[in-house]
Amino acid sequence: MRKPVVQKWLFIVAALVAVVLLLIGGRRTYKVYDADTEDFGLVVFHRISDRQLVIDATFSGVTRRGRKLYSTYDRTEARAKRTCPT
Amino acid sequence: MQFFSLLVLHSSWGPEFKWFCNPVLSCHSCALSWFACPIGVLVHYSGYHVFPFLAVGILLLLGVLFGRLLCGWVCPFGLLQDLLYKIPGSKFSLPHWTGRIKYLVLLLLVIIVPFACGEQTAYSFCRICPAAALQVTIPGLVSTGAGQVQASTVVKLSILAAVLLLTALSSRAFCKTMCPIGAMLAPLNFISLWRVRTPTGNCTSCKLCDDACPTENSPSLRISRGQAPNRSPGCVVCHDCQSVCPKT
Repeated sequence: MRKPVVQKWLFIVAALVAVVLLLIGGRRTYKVYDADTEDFGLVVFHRISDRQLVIDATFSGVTRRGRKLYSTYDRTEARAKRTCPT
Repeated sequence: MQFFSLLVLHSSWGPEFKWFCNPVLSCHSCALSWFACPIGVLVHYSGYHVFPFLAVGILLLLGVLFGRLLCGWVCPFGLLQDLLYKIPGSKFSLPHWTGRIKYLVLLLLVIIVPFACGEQTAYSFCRICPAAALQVTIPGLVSTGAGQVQASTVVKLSILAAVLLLTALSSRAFCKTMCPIGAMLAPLNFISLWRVRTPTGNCTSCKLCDDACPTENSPSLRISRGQAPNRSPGCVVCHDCQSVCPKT
């Protein structure tokens, strides 16, 4: 009798944690710097959502150097669907 | 259902849904892939040193609702394993302890190594992923020619060949031993909303369910205890035990 009650509570806690993570992920943004502009002493960055960072992760659109995230492509240009990076 | 999902997952001619981590083994680098691979995303986020709120939230929500149901019904690599195991010939069962290897794979090749060495490390799971070898590496070799084959490509293709051979000899061998998505979803089988319903009250211990189970997970043990057969980390929730039960 005790085990189904524990399972039920674990289910509720896990579902709540999932919803909280989704809410945080929906609001969170990240600074992604332009790699090229640093050559001229300028620091240009874009704020991208967690959703955009997931998409960037699917084609290595962002890379990490030091403690910063850098874009691997020009974000000012409109882009079509990304194809295979390999 | 598995064939249908194979078509749907690889028919991305329309809008981009690559922000959605579908918890099945299907490489998001495939040009036709509709969704993001959670493993590829976790490898990259580990390399970025960023917590993947959205990806983990989606995985956890689908996991608590369905457990490993998607492994049994939606995963295209699971379908491939099921088809390979139908090839006639001698078969064998893997030792029970091999089921723990997948947790090590998840911890090391998806989280720790990419965190320490960066997302482009040659030692992440993506570099040895058999689904990526099938969907990306082989089509890439066909289109560019095999003249510039790198050592990493040879390693990846060798692992694919070994996995395919193993799955032809032992049912769902990759799911049981190596799949990091399975490792993430396995504990959620214990609390998931989705339940495989079997007649626990009037079980005759005929063990037909044990013979039908593709992951050799002994569903009769849990049925005899009055539990749902999918309350086990190894279960891929295929419902085969329910289908063969004469009391259903």
